[in-house]
Parts: sequence; structure tokens; C-alpha cells
Amino acid sequence: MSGCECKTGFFTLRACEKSVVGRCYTCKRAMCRDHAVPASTTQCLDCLAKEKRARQSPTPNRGSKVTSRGTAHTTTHDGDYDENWLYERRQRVRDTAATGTVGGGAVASHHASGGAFDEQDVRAFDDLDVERDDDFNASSGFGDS
Amino acid sequence: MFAALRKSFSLTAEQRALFKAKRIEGRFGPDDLIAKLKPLAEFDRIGDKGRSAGCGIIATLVLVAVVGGFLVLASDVSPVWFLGIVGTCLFFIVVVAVLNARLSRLDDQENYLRSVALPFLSALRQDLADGAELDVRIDFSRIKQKSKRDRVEKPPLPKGFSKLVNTYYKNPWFEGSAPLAIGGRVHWQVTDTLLESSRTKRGSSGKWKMKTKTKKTSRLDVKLALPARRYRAVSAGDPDVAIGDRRIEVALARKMASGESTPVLDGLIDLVALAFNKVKPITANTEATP
Repeated sequence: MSGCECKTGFFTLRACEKSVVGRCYTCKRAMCRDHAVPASTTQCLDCLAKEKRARQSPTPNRGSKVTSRGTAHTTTHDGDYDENWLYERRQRVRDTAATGTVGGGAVASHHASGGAFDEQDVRAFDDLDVERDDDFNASSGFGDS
Repeated sequence: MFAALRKSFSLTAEQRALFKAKRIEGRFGPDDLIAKLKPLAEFDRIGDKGRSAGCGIIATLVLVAVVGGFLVLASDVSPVWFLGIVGTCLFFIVVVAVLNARLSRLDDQENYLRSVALPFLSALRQDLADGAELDVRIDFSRIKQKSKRDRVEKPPLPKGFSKLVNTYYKNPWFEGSAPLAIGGRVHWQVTDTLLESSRTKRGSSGKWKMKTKTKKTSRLDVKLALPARRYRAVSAGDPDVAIGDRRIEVALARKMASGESTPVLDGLIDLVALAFNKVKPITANTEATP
């Protein structure tokens, strides 16, 4: 056992090679303390994240929505961004890299026009009729203040 | 709510000062920065929950006062009971409202610190060079304030309207750059823009009505600069990739029509990942599957 066989990094992966505390029973890789599930030396965080994703993928949790590509994106989060979230999200980043897609919309060129609102955004207000209050409540994505 | 109050009393002077300034700016080690942000994010989370609980308590007390008062008045018991029930409820309503106001004063900020900045920095920390420091600026104050007003427009009036004012607010609230362990640097910026449209119209009954509506968008910018001797563009002629003598630069931007935090975090992470996907190492492949 020379060093940790797990990969470190989030966007780019590289060898970890820290001193080993155990071996993951799922993937059989040697792992360091940073890559082992806290208070455990029998499973690595990657495998735990994979298991969680596999459990979640058939039916998304409450607060999640399924995009057109079929991946579940959590829409609400209670601020519990821990190690598990990090490893689950890292795997989603790898999936994105494999499919070459980015969740949630198109990517514009950096040199595209810098205006945050286009004509269409402003025109969305033109349909508003203050006489009919229902229109305000039913509008898509607008919030009264 | 009481957990939030307890937490508010346990904040250090430095943390209170950060909450008051609602801004963090400077050069930090990633671990130091995250250690600094975590208690603030935790208090923000507990504070939001506490305020919601406070509002629930107030609503319950109002209900108890109304129903209790009505029942006492409808029965033959002494009016002292009415005063006792309503008075007690009013007393506790005032106490809870004061405590809620105290929490609101301390925690009057956007949720972006806990729901975007902290998780993004936690992720990025893993890609930083050993001993590297980040340049970061986080402004978590509210976007609707005078200093963030970008411009005010009075466009032509639609039929029937007597006044129309569009106010634009601009808030570049999260910006930073960091050196990467693989060499090179990543830079990111998140800018929110809020359009507030106030319209006034006189109805057929002669009554004046005014409505204000808002729409928020977020613009994400990511720039990735890597040494040209070690990396090359994945596809030739990619307009997002600029190849220089010394550096290869990927610049991406994305506009998100959303005021919510989670899509911004997902969008930012995906955009940085996409920037990395547009280049690949010339020599050994440093990217491997987890």
C-alpha cells in the first residue's frame, strides 16, 4: 500500500497519494483519512456518493426537479453542503464532462452583449393590466413587491 | 427561534462586524476563508428558520387572542378573563416581534453567502495549489438599495397608463480568482441585475392603482487561463478559447433568469466545468475518472 488511490480535486482530478488508513470495500481502492467516510475506514466518499445517487435517481426527492436530460437537480437546499454533497456534485460534474452538456440553459459567448435584460424581458411587463390583479399573481416568474 | 437568538449572542465581534458590513474582500487562504464564512452561513440559516418560526408564533398568538376573546365574550364569565387572555397574547406578540426584529436587523442579507459562495469555494478549494491564496470579494447585502441603482428609465407609456418607471439595480456580488494546482488561474464573477417596474393607471372607476413588479437575472462569467505549453483547445476555432504565446484562455458567460440561489450555484459550477472541458493537456492526461 503506497498511498491513497482516490483522486483529489473537483474540476480536475489528480492523484492524492496521502498515507492510507484503509481500503474501500466497494471499489477496493486504498484510501486516506480525507477520502474515507468520516468515522469509517471501510468505504470511500466516492462510493458513498455513487450509492446515494443510485438510490436517488429513480425517483427524485421532494424539492428536486428532473430536467429534460433526465438528471435530477435539487432546487432547494438547506445549506447542508457537506463532504457528501461535494462528492455527489463532483460526480455530476464528471457526467457533464462526459455528455458535454451544461444544466439549466445555454451558455453564451463571453463577448455576447452585456445587457442583463433584453427587449423580451422588458416587454413581459407590457401585458400587465393593473385593473386585473389576477394577472399579477399568475404571471410567470414575477414577484410582487 | 431561540436557537437563532442563542446563536446571535454567541457571534464574535469580528463576525458581527462582517454581518454589519455585509461584505468580505481580500486575499485569503482557502481554509481560513471557509472557516470565516461557515459560522456566518450557519447563523444565516438558523436565523431564517428562527424568523419563520417567530412569524408562526405571532400568527398563532393572534388566533388564540381572537378565538379566546370571542369565546369569553360569548360566555357569561367575567370580562377580566377577556382582558387576561387578550393582554397575555398581546404581550407575547410584542416580545416575539421585538426578538424577530433583532434577528432581522442582524441577518438582513441575501442568502447567497451560504447557498452559493460557501459551497462553491469548498469545491474550488480542492483544485487549488498547496498554500495558494484566493482573491475574493463577496457582497451579501440586499440588491435593492440606492448605491446599487444602475439606471432609471421612463419608457413610452403603454395605453391607459399614466406613469411608468423602470429601475435597474446591478450587483456584482461574488467575484474572485484563484491559482490552480494544475497551473494557471480561474476567475469568476456573478452579477445580479434586478428590474423593478412601477406602473400607475387610473381605472374606469376613477381609482388610481399602482403596481410594482420585479424580475431578477444573474450573469455568470468564468475565465480560465492555463499555460499554453501544457494545454490546447479541444476543438480548433472555438470562439470561446483564445490561444496566446504563453497562455490559453477560455472565457464563458451565462445569463440565468432566476432569483434563486441553487440554480446559480449549479450554473457556476457547470460553467467552470465547461471551461475546463474546452481545453485538454498536451502531454499526459491529468484528468481521470474518479
